[in-house]
Amino acid sequence: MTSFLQTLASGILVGGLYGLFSSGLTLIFGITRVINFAHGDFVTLGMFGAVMLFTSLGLSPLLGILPVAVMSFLLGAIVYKVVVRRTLAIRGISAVDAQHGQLVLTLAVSILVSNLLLMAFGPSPRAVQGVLPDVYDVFGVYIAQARLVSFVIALAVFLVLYHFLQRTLYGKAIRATVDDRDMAAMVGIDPNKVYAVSFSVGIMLTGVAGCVLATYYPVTPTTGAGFLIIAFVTVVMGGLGNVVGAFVAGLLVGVIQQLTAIYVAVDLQDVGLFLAFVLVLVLRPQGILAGRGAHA
Amino acid sequence: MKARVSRPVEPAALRVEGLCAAYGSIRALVDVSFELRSGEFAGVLGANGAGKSTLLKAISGLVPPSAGTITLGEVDLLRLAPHEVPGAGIAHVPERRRVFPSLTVADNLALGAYVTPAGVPRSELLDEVYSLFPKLRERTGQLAGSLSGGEQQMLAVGRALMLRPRLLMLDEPSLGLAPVIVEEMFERLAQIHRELDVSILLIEQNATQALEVIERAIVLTTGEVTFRGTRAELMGSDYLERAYLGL
Repeated sequence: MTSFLQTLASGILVGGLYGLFSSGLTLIFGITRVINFAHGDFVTLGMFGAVMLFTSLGLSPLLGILPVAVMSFLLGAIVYKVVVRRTLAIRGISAVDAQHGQLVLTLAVSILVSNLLLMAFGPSPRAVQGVLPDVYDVFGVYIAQARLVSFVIALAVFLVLYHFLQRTLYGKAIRATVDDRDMAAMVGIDPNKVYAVSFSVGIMLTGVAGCVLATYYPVTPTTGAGFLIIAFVTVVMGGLGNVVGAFVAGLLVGVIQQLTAIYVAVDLQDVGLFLAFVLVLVLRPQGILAGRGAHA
Repeated sequence: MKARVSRPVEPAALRVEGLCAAYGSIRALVDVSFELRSGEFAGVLGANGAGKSTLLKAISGLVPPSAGTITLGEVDLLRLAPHEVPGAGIAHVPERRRVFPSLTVADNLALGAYVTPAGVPRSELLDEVYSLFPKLRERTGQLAGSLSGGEQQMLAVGRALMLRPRLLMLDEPSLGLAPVIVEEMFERLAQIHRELDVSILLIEQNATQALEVIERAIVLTTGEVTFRGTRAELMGSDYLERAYLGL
C-alpha cells in the first residue's frame, strides 16, 4: 500500500510539470492552430536557464523563475514574429499547406536550439545541485522537497494562467478569438496581437516548467525530445486546446508513467503511457474532460 | 427606457463612393455609391446574393474593395485594419449573429465594449442594453452558445451597442427567427433609433419588415444600385418586386 501511495505521489508531483508545459502547448495550438514541434526544446531552454543562473550567479531556480519567464516570453515572441507568423500570413494557400510549413519550420527551430545547446554546453548532463535537498516522510511516503516545491509552483502558475483566461478582459478576448477570429476583429480585438501574446505566454509557461524541473532533473541538450512526446500525448488526452484538460492529463500521464515503471518495468514506462493514450483515443477521442467548457 | 447614457459620441455620416469588390472573377459590388446621413436609419434591400453582405464586410474591412472610397465622418475607413474599424465607431452585427458561443452573455457584452471610448461608463451601457433586452439580464451567466436564436440576436445587437457606436450596421437580423421574434426585434431597432443617437444601416431581404423602420433605402441587384429613395417612394413603386424577381 505504501509503495502504491509512493508511486502515486511521485507521479502526481512530476505530472504537475508535464501539465504546465502541456498547457503551454495546448494554449498555442488552441489559439493559433500551430503544432509546435520545438515545444520540448523550450523546456530544455528553461532548464538550461536555471542551470546557468545557478552556476554563474548562484541564483536558486526558485528566484530564477522570473528571469527565465521573461526570457522565454521574449523568445516566444521572437519565434512567433520571425517564423510562425509568416506561415499564418500567407494568403491563397490552404490550412493544410500552412500547417506543413509550420511543422517543418518549428522542427527546424527544434533542431537549431538543441544543436546550439550542444555546441555551447556539450552532451553531458548538467544539474542544479543542493537546492531544496530535504526529504519529507509523510506516513511512510517519502516526498522530496524539490519535487514538492516544483509541483506547487507549477500548480500556482497554472492557476494564474486559468484566472487570466477566465477573468481578465484580455483573457476573454483570447477566448473570443478562438471562437470566431473575424468576429473578434469586429469588436476591435487585434487577432495578430492575440496570436503573438498566446504563443509567447505558451512558451513562457514551458520555460517556467523547465526552470523548476531543473531542481531535480538533470538536463542535456536533447532532453526536450522526450518532453515533446509527453506533451503531445498529454495535449491530446486533455482534448486539443483544452487548458484545464491538459493540466489534468499531465497529472494522469505522470501517474501512469510511474505506475508502469514501478509495477511493470522502468524501461517500459513510456509503453504504459502509449497504451493509455491509445485507450483514450479509442474511448474518448474528444479528450478526458471534453464538454466541460474549459477550452482556451 | 429611462437609463440614458451621457453621450459624448456623435452619430456619424457614412459615404460610399464608386465601391467595387469581387470574389475572384465574380463581381459582388459594381460602382456602388450612397450616403447615409448622420442619425439616419437607412436600409440596403435586395435579393439573396445581391451583394448586401459584401457591402457591410467592405465597410468593416473584411473584404478589400478593388476600387472606391468609404468614409465615416472624416475617417477614411479603407486605411484601417479590420480590428481598427470598431475604434472609428462602427459596430457590425453580422449575418447569423456570431455571438462568442463559449463565452457567457456577460462576457460577450464586456467584449462589445473592448474599444469603447474611455469616457463612456460601461455600467451605464450595460444598463441600457439590459433595459432594451431584459431577457439578457436573466441570462448573464449562461454560455451564449446555449441561447435560443432570438436571444442570440438580442445579444449580438446588445454587444454592438456596448461599443457606443456612431454607426450601427445590421446584417439580416430577421434571419432564421420566428415571425413574432422578428416583430419584437424590429420594434427594438426602431426604439434604438429613437432613443440613442446613432446612425443605422440595415440589410434586409425581408423588405416588408424593413420598410416599417427605415427612412431611406437603396436596392441592390447583382451588385449594382438599381433604386434609391425614401420609404414612401419605395412603397409607392413596384421596384422591389422587380428587383427581387430579377425582372
